[in-house]
Amino acid sequence: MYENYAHVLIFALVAVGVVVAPLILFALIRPVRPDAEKLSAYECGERVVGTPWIQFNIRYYLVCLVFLVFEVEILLLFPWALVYGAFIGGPEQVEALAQGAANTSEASGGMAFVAMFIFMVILAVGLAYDWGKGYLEWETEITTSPEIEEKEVA
Amino acid sequence: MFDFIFFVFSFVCIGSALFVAFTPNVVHAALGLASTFATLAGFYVLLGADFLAITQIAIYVGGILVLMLFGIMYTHTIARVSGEQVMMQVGPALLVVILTLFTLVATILSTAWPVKEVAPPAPTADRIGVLLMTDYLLPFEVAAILLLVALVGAVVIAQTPVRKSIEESVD
Repeated sequence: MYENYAHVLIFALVAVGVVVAPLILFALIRPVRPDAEKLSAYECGERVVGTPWIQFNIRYYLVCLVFLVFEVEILLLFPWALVYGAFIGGPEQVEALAQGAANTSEASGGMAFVAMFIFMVILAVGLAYDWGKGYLEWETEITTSPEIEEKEVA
Repeated sequence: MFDFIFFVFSFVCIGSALFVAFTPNVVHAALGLASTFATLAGFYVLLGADFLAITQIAIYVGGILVLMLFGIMYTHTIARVSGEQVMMQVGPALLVVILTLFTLVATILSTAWPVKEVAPPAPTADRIGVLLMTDYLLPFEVAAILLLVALVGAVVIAQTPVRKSIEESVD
């Protein structure tokens, strides 16, 4: 198992190195003569208006909360998806995976399917509730109001 | 080699945690927190808990940290944060820190810490899958109920302040 994660570690180190190494290299060799014009943020040649620290649209927060719940759901789906084939194959294949750690005598593909179906239905109820109550609505008529855009720029 | 990797992870993890505690810029603090969470995933891998490591990355770095960043981005005075941190409860904080330190040091010194050579652990995700579908089927479905409560409850609680904030920004 560790060999696989050594690959992950190498990828992570290269990813960090590609960012950090040029920063260090250029900090060592470049001349430093800053002025106000040079220190201003570069935005494709356009003059920068306002500050980058604007308040984000708060509607993202609700979406993020819902996203977090479904991310946990997806993570619980992964182990199930890994072993579902073995459950279809029968208790012997499940036992080979479990290595004595679980009571696998009643394992069957239908049971695994029904178990995950119930799991998904329970969460679908939550999504339907949020959707039906209009919590996921974006209310575009408010977002496109020019007053907000002016406020964000100001 | 594992010791070396462990110490690198520890160094980065504790360093980022200190950075989170001491930087005056909350956005930088959130990025430091990302580094702490990511190195914790490295510890899980070293302990052979590969599924937990992926969960740590996906949930904490990918989800909870984004939620925190959103929380920071919604703060009204984010551009006017003053550069100082004021310590208010120095006395009680000191007491708690000393007691915690005492407990930790006493535990570390009084534990035997047996070291044993073990085989590299096998991947855990398929065993977790089998256990979720057999012995822990009921807790698995109860987890769905818990997620349902979070899905409905979080949105309902957050809805009122979010709507209020939207109405204020329109006025």
